[in-house]
Amino acid sequence: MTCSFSSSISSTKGFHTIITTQYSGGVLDGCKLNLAYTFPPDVFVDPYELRYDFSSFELDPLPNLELPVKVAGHGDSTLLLHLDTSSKLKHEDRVAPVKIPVHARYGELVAPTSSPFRSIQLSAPRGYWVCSSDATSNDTIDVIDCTSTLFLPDSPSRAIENVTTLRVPVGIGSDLDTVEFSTTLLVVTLLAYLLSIFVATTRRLYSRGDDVKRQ
Amino acid sequence: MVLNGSLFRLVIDVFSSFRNVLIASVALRIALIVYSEWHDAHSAVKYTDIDYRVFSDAAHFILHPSAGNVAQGPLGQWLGIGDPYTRQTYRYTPLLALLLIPSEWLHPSFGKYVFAGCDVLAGILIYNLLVSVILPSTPVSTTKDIKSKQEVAQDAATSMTRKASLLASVHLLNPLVFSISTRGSSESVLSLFVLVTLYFALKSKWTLAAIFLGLSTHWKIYPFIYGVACLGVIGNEHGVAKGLKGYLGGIINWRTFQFVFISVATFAFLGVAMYLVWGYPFLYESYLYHLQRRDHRHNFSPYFYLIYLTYPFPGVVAPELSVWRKFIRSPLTSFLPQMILSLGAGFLFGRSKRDLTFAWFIQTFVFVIFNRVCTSQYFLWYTLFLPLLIPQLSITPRWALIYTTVWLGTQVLWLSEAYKLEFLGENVFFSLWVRGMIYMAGHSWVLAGIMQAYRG
Repeated sequence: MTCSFSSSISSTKGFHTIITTQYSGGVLDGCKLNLAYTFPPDVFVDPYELRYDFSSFELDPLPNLELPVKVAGHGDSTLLLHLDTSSKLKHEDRVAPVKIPVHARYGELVAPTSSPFRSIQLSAPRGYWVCSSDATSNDTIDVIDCTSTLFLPDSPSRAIENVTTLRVPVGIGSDLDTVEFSTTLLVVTLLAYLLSIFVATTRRLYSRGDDVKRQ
Repeated sequence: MVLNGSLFRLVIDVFSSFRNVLIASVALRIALIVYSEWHDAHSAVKYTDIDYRVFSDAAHFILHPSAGNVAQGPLGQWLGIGDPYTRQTYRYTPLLALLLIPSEWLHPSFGKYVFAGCDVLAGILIYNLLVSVILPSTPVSTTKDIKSKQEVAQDAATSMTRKASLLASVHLLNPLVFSISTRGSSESVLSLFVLVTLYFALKSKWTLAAIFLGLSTHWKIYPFIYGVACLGVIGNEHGVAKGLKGYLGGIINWRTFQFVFISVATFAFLGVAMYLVWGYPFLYESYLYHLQRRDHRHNFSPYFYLIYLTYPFPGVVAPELSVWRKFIRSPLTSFLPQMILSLGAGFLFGRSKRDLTFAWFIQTFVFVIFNRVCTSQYFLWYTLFLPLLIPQLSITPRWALIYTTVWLGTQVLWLSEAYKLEFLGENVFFSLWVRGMIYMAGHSWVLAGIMQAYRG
């Protein structure tokens, strides 16, 4: 039996993208169809987001949803989806496409002489059937790999070696002095400005005669 | 032009009836919640706020305890219920998760209906306050027509209810308000608590005001600042004494002590109850986390880029810093200008009930402007008071338009650049920070303008 997965990525730039994967091929009765994704630590999938669309998946390790990349503190993560093939068994057109939202973390700062962008490699998922045999006493498991290709959004007919990159901007370390000084200056200036308005308003509202009248 | 003028007058006439405003508000919110379910099922970009999923998941975890998901307080382990803090990024009181538990049984959008309902209740409270307290105390323009006293009183009452309806619609029909609640953000619950606190304060029911202030502060920390303004109002209710001694005597007396005691006791009671059930995770996630949070991702506050640039990445050797620089970079330092202004406004303007709404508005506005993190929902915290404040402002339509344009325009300026960063992946960190500075300056200028327009 031939089986294949074709994936596309919605955007190759920015902090959010969606990997959409479509299955083509037959259905093996009594077998399970799995999709396995591997993500570098620069990105994460939100398990709470996945829970709304997928009833069966395993994500390891469970990601921290808020920290920037190095502080998140783990290597690659893997997402294993157990796909529902019942629509295919009912002779409907196809197994429903799988959409996985992927989010990029903020990266480590770079020097002004370096590229202000970070390229994150995203791979096509591995798709495979898992069939367990009851005929023998040893319960062997057969794994049937499917081909998997990845297409870029602007080249839907051209597969790119199962890997693409997501480009995200990173902060530039040399901005620190300007940002620190200017933010401090602005905050202090606005503090003084608003305090002066407070005082002027207080004098206007609560001048000797007015205060008694207004009470 | 004549048609436009007639249409405008028709719209004003329709919404001069509070009944019509209420019907429109309820219908609009129900329609949006129903639409949100259809939209989310058919679009990759969801209408529902991510926060709603956080609250709903927390409710789910409470109802479904398991290994690794058990309430960690002494009572919680005995009760055998789950821990809402199992849900990453849930940083609210457990009461919010408990409020959403029916979403698990009845309907997933139950929480949205609760939040929308709180919106509507807040609008009713605003109308009530306008009719019973705010508008009767503002000057009324008189005509030269010869009318009987009864006719004059009737005209005044009709005019007041019409005005109150239109002002209440500033809240009830505000796109920011109804979109936030129907998307599933819980801000409307706190808004209702704050308005109830204000309601009781303006009616001089200080015990009830203290209880709701304690509840509001338990829900989210910032409402504690309103207590400062209340102290001056309570103390001055029995006359304004002169000089510093008189001022201090107005703030420190048995009435203010009673208010503070009840408010703190309410806050403590709720805190202890939650701690007994959910233990340290409640304390940390609801309160302690906020003292040292580092929101490095982009938001309106210009602090975001400074936090990102100084984030302690492991493996990166931190440079030796001067005492001054350590002070500036401390998460607690940003509290200083924020507290000086918000508490200072409370002390300066909390002198009479007449100025209480104004004081709370100023306190909240500066709190948001100088906060280390700011998202659109935060604006609701002070725009809530606008319908009550407008009758006491003297602004020409031209300046009202200018202030509104600057207030909105600085946000749009920031949002357009944030879109480029987040969705187009352009490196605009620096220009986004600059726009954050413009937002902060612009909103401060608008605030100053409103203060200068306040007539009391």
